[in-house]
Amino acid sequence: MRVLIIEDEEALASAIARGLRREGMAVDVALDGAGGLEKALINAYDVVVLDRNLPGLHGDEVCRRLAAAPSQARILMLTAARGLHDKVAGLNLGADDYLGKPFAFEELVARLHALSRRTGPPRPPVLHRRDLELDPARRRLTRDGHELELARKEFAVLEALMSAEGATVSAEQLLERVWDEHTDPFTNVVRMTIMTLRRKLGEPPVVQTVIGVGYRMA
Amino acid sequence: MAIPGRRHRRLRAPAPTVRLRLTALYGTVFLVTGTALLTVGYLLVRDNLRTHHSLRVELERLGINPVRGEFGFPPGSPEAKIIHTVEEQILGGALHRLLIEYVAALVVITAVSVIIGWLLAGRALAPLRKITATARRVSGENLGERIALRGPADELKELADTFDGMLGRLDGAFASQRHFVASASHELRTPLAIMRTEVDVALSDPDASRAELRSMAETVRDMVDRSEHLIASLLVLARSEAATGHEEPVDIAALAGDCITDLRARAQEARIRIADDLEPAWCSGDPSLLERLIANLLDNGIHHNERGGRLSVRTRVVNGRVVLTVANGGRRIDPAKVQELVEPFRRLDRSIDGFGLGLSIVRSVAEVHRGTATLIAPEAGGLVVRVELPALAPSRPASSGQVSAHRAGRARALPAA
Repeated sequence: MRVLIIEDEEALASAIARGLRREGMAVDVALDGAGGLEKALINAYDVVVLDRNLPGLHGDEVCRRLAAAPSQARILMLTAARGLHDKVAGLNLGADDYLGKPFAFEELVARLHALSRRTGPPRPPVLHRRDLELDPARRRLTRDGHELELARKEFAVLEALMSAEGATVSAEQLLERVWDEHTDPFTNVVRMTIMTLRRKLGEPPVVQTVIGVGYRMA
Repeated sequence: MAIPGRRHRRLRAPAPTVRLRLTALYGTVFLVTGTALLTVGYLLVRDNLRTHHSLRVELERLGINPVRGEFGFPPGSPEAKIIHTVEEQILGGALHRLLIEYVAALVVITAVSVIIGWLLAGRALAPLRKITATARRVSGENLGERIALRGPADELKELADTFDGMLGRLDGAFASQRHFVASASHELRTPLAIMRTEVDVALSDPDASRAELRSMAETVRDMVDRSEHLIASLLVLARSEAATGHEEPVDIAALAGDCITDLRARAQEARIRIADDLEPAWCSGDPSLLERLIANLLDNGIHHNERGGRLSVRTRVVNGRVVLTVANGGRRIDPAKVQELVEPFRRLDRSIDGFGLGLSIVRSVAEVHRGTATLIAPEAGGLVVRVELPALAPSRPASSGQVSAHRAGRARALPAA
C-alpha cells in the first residue's frame, strides 16, 4: 500500500511515516499543501493522509482538488478540529474518512487498510488464493494452515499480486505501489523481492512470471 | 412551567399589531373629521335654506310678502299657516334626505379609507417586517446576512443600517472567536497528537532500539515544553483580559531597562543592536502584566529581526500619556495585514516558531490599563509598536526599588509567546 502524508508539523509527519513504514507501507511525506497536491497528482497513492490546517494552500482546497482529479487515491483527513460540523464539512469536501488529533496509531493503520480496500474493486479484509490466506491488517500469511514469515516488502508485493486476482501486475506497478518515491525506478529490487518471496512460499510455485509484462498469481 | 396548550392559545389570540392600530387610527380620525365636516355642512345648508331659500324669501324676492303687508295674508290666518306648513315640509324633506345621503356617504368613504389605511400601513411597515425576518434568520452560525434596505434615507432606513452595522461587528467578533477556538484547539492538540503517535509507534515495535526510544523520549519532552509554553501564554492572555484590579505605580522606563538587561545575551547572539532611550514614565498598573507587555515586545523585536538588525526602545511622557515605542528591523510587512497581528494566533509566517499570542497579550494588557497599542509597518521593513498608557502625575516619588522588589519576588516563568 502506498501512502502520502501531507502534514506541516514535521515531527508528526515523520513519526507517522516511521510507524507506517514499519507496517510495510510505502510512505511519502509532503510538508505543505501545494507540494502535497503535486505529489498526489503525479504518483499513484492508495491513500492520502491530509492535515486540514496547512500553510499556503489550505487542506480544504487540496482535498477539493484531489477529489476532483481523476485519481484513485482515497483521502483521510487528519485534523485537530473534531467537532461535528468540522467532520461533516470535511467529508462534504470529498474526504473519504476523518480522524481527529490526537488519535491512536492503531486506529490510523486500521482506517488506512479499510480505505485501501476501497481503491479499485471491493476487496475482502482477508485475501484467499488457492491454499494461501493473507490478512493485511494483522500482517499474517498462512499456506495450507502453516504460518509463513515474510519481510515487509515481500508481504506488500504478495498482497498486491493477490488483490489483482490472477491478473498480471507489471514490475512498474509493483514498484509504484510498494516502494516510495525515493526508490530508483531502474532498480532490480522488484525482481529480487519476487525471488525471495518465491523461495519463502515454497512448492508448488504460485507466483508466475509473464515474460516482458510482469507477474501474476497462479 | 410552560404549558404547551396555553402557549399555543396565547399565540393565536389576535395581536394588536401596529398595522391594525395604525389602520384603526386612520379610520377613527377620518370618521371624526368626516362627521364634523358633514355636521357643519348640514348645519350650514339648513341655515342657508331657512334664511335665503325658504318659500317666504323667494316670494319676497318677487315682491310678495305672503304673511304681512297689504297683499299678504295676515299672520295667524289659515293661509299663512298653510304656507308655513308647506315651507316646513319642503325644508324638512330636503334636510332629511340630505342627512341620509351624508350618513351613507360617510359610511362608504370611511370604509374605503380604512381599506386604504390598511394598505398604506402595510406598505409603510414593510421594511420593519424585512428587518424582523432578517433578525430572526440570523444566528451565531449565520451572521453573513444583511438587510441592505433600499429607499429614502428615513427613520426605518436608519434603523436597518444601524442593525446592519451591528451585525457586521457581531460577525467580526464571532469570526475572531471561532478563529481563536480553532487555533487554540489546533495548537493544543498537535503536540498531543505527536506525543501519542511517537509513543504508539515505539510501543508497537517490541524490538525498538535504545536510540529509537531515546529519540522518542526527546520528542515527547519537546512537545511537553511546547504545550506548557502555550498553556502559560494562554493563561497570561486570559489573565490580562480579566482586569485584576490590582494596581500600583510602575515606572515603564525601569521595567524596560530590566527587560533589556535580561535579553541582552540573546540579542548579542543574534547580533542585534539595542538602542535604548528611556525617560522615567510612571503609570499605574499591574507590574507583572506590564513587564510581560514589554518583554513580549522586545522578544518579538529580536525573534522577527534580521541578523545584525536594530532594536530601539523609547519611553516618554507626552500630553499626560506614557508612550513606549519599540521598533525593530526585519522583513517588510504588508501594511494592510499589520493590524491582524494583534489577533490571537495570527502569524505572518508559520515557519517561524511561536504561537502568535505575543502581540495579542500586548494589546490586551494595554487595553486593560486603559491604553492602546498601535502597530505600524514602515516602508523600510520591520515593525514599530507604540503603546500609550495614562501617565501618573509627575509629582510621583520615583521609588524604583518598589518595582525591583516586585521583580525579585515574582516567579519569572511567564513565557513570551
